[in-house]
Amino acid sequence: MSGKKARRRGPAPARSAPSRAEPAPGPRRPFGSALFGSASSVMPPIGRSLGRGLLTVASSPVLVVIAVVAVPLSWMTLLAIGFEGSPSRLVDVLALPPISTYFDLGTGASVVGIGPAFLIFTGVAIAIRSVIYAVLTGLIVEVLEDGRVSTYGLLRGLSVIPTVIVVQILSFSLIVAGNLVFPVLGPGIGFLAFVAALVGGLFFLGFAPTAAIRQGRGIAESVRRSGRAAMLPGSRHLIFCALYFFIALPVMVGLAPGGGDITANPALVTWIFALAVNVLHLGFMAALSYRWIVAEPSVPEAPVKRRQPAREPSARARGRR
Amino acid sequence: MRPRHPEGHLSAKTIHLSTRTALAVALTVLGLGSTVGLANAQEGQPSSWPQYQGGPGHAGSLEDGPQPPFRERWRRPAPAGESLSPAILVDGLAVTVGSEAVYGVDLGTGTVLWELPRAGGPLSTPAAGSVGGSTVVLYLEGPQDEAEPSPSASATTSVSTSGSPSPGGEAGGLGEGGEALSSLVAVSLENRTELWRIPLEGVARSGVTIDGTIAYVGDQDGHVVAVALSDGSVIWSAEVPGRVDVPVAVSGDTAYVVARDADPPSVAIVALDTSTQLDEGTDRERWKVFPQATSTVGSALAAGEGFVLVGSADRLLRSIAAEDGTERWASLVLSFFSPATAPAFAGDAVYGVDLSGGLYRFDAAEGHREWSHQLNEVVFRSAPVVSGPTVLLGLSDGRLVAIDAASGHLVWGSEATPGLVGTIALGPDIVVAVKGGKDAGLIAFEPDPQGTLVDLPSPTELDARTTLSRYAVAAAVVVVGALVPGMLLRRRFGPADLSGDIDGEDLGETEDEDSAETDEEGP
Repeated sequence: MSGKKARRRGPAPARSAPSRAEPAPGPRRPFGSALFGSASSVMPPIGRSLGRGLLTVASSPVLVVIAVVAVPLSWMTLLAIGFEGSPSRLVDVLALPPISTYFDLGTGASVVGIGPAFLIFTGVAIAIRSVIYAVLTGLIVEVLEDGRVSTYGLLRGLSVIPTVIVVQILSFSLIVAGNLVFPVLGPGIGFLAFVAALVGGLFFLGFAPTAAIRQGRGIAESVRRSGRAAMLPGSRHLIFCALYFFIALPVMVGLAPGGGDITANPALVTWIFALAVNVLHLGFMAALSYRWIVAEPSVPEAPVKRRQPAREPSARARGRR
Repeated sequence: MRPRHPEGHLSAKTIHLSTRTALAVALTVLGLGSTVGLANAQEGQPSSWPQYQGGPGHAGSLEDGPQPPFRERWRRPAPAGESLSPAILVDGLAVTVGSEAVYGVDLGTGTVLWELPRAGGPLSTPAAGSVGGSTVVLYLEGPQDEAEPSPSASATTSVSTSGSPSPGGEAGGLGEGGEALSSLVAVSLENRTELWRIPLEGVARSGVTIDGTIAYVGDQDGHVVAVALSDGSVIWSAEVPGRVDVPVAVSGDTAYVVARDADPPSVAIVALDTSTQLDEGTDRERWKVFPQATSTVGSALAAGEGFVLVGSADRLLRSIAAEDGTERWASLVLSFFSPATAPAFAGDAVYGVDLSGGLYRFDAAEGHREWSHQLNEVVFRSAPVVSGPTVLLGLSDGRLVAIDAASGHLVWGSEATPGLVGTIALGPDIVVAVKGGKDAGLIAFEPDPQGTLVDLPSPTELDARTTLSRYAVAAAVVVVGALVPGMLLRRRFGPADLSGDIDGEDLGETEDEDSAETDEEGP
């Protein structure tokens, strides 16, 4: 990696000149290849992304300490406002949206019930979480670029708070809409659709904060480019997002020591588990940033139009001819 | 923290029994429990706990109830091997309803003193009243199999206000479509002879409520009937918008009914005028409220002191003005309320328990939560009962627990046993609870002079020293566990390759892996 000084003096120059030419239209790929693609991709493989993400966090004392401090601070804050619940919730303190949004909504409903106070709680949670998420992304990007954290990374993070707020609000809207719409489909399909919506939220919005930090573009353009990056052929980004969702919700919450016991005093193993899982969340966050940075030059400036290839005549049609 | 072995708990603060007794006496003298013991105060009620939650309003309190610590006095599995209904305590007996019989169990020994054959039907709480100085027990019977007409069912199709009871009659009735229905049966406790029985208009599982000389029953088709205790004549009947599957609560001249409707899902609280002066056909509905929509989940009612209490699916315990149905207050709890639970009240306090085992005390006037105690055990078939200065509750892990009403601290808990401990009945020196599980039946506890009390706060009370010390150790473990390998691996692999060169080596991946992906694409 190089270019340290150039980066530290301002936002990345990717807006003007992508370092690589946009990929030439290749042979047509089967439907869904962008989601589940097995083709070669400019985006690093999932394993490498996760490894680099975890290494980025684990090698940065600042990031590890943030994860370790954020969890008890959140817990004490929740207790102070009257929360009674299971400490297993702590595993999702630093989760990525929309899982973090889901966590906040559940916490809000538990503390104040469903009513006007719930909306206030949600608004405050979105604001706080946006600041944290933006700062963390800024620091992570700086560690990836320069191998260190500084005030520069912090300020870059703070500069994209509006983008992160929009991501959080979109996540919130997604969950609310899912709760209203998907029950119509019945308990089974409706639940699956809701899960798909959550995964979809991460899929399309996950790159937006990093994109905003790296390219300094506006909110809408950052969100759009996040979606385009997710759709890059062969990225396996959907699998990445589904893996994160699966780990962050059923696995981590389900495996949390202490289970559903309601207490204000988490056991030692619960603390260890919650802190470690939040470090893991930062690892996923860094993996997303890493994937974006690597794929950034290849993210198209405009939506890629799907070509309609000429269909091969069927055997029956050929026979008729 | 689960006090399964209270005596052995290191953090438990032992209190001398004499201190607890003195506290109980002091509270009584101060009049804090001035309105408890509603069950005893009812005219025509023959015993300490003659119906569900003690009295017609189901206050669930007994001023001079037994105090912990307790020990098990006896355990009585259901004689026919099936479950039993919640028990009532009357004239030295626990009376409970089984599928095939109604049992009279000696409170001293747990021996079944008598049993009356019963022709099946849902299990529900019986009730006892007094007629002419003798005690009458009322219970619901039949249909034998809800899917099939009872072989002994009568052909009576409906109840009318001029309905004639039939002593020693059939087990149940048949509806207009030939479906089997339930009956309300009255027997003399003295000689167990059947005094009367009346067929109802539907299958009934609400249990029986007795207020003075009138009994109230609801059925699954939304009928509520008021029956004269003396002869079984129907005084009035009314319809409510949904099935009635929990006991009717009566306070003053009003009966309060929970009506659940599945389509669309809703729960209605209906207040019915119980006055006997109204003309036949007069609408008895005083008010009707729907505390929440889109769900049929909600607790049974408790009524008295000018309010009606109900737990709703939106996790709110509501106090509704008895006069006009307006909401006095609503307070949030942690999870839903089981349909098989009910709030309780005594003095200036209201108690409720949610499905996840949170027991709460609220100020009866304003609804402020005064304390909560999270027991971390499901409470499905039990309701809190206030025994003097103590609140008792049965849990799904088979424990009976006692919580100090003033502090909200757990002061005693029995050993966990197979099968839940359900609805509780209180006598002056005995606690009788329905028992679930493999050996379902009844279980009785009595005060244990040699027992020990504990003083355990709710686990939701922050113990700052313990929590912070645990956190500090955990933080050290995670920081070291993450940073040491992180630093070493960073040294091994170096900074991230952000060039997008997927063929380059990063984190040990080689060209082979990526070329393998490329190969999958094909030409």
